[in-house]
Amino acid sequence: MGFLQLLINGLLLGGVYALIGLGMTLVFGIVGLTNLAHGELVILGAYASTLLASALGVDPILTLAVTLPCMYALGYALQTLLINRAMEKGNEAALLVTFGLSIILQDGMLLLLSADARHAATAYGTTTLRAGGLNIPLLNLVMFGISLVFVAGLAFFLNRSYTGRAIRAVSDDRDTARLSGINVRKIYAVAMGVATAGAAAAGLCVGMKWTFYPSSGGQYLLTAFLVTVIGGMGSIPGTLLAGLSFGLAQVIGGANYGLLISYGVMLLVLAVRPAATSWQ
Amino acid sequence: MLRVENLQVNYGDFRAVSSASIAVRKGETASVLGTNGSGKTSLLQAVAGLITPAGGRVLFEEEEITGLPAEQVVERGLSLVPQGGKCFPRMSVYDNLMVGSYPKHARPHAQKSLERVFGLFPVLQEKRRDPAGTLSGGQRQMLAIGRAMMAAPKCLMFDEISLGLAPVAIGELYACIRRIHQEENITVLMVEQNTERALRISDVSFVMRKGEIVLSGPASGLSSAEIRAAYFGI
Repeated sequence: MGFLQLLINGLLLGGVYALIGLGMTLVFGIVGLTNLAHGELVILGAYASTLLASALGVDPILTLAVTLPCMYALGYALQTLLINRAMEKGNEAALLVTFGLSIILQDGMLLLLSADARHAATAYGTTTLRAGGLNIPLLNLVMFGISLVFVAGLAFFLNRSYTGRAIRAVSDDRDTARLSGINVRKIYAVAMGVATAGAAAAGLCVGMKWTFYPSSGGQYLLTAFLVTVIGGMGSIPGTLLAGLSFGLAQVIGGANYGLLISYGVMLLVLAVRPAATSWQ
Repeated sequence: MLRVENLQVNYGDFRAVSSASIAVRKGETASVLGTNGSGKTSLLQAVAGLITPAGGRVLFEEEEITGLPAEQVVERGLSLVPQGGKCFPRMSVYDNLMVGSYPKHARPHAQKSLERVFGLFPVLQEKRRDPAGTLSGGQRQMLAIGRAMMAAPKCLMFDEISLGLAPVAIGELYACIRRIHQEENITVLMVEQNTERALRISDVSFVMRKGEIVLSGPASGLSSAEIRAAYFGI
């Protein structure tokens, strides 16, 4: 029973880690860029949900109706106005731009929102469901549901819509995509928008589960990087599985060994399957 | 319908196309012939918007499209089928074709275009769920042609579609090009090294050597001796 409890805890938590990694793997697979500002975007999403829920007096989940489109627009604008232009000078320039962006976002949040710890309180934050001798934290279950809905929605979008197919085509072969009438720079912007909307959803979960500060982005960037590498930098199921395995490692290894196990798995993946694939 | 005037293409200091002028009328099948490195592919890529020409003009239906990006050229009805049957290998055959109808003007006709493509290439319908990467070379070339047709083009450009294919597959592809031209009334511009085959289906031909058009005229009026001399510069 003890192992089953660990398994459930790990899997439920893993859904959030998958969501944290999803945006980074999406941008890496399609735009070919490691977005070093991804962690800060997650924290920005956490702040947005926490402040909005507090101001409106609603459940933090409902804030997604506002944060998802706003963060999509932010990601789209960042890619269009900043990163696409930097990419004309090469990917190194774009990488440095995302690094600069992470510093601006972090310092901006520090300046405007102070260094105080924040948390998005929910009515069910401490509620535990009991079934068959197992204890299932309701919050973890809700976060897992959010992750699954986002991942399933993304899979549907990529597989069934014209824009989704165009995103996959760009990830496969940019020149052939252009010859099919696809504006590659616009697709990059859409991908960054979707990734940033994913960061908003991940930020909501982070805010509901843990306390966070303007400087917390770094740890979530590392989480995203780890999930991206283990997941193979290119697949929805891969990212989901990587997130779940990271969650399990955190629960099984605990505070002392959780990260060690995860980084061990990442090194193993890099040794066995070092080549990144594109987003599919 | 398509007019190229004194087009120049450079790769750094190297001039791949020094001065190329061609004109293709609506409903014609035209071919550009030449050896490897004569500048044929660079010419097509510059017309298609994949590379920016260093000089000259490209006009399509009397509108100047010089230097327009590839996606805008496709929107105007000019599509290029690239060399080597390029496709999106991890996507299914069906998804590859649907990517072809991404331009907004093509979307309302996507289902009809799909049926036409499946009519031309029944093997694509049989393999519609398979990843494109599992197709043979000839089938990939069919897929590339089908994807270009999904964009509802007025003019199709083919870049050496016979390259690396078995003679049987080449024969099938040429028969399909003839059908596309006749049944769909699509203007065709093809680049080829296989002069005999290309001349057989062309109304007008151009021979390129060292980045220049050195011979042009109605395909039926060009003698093999003339073409050989222009082709090899002898």
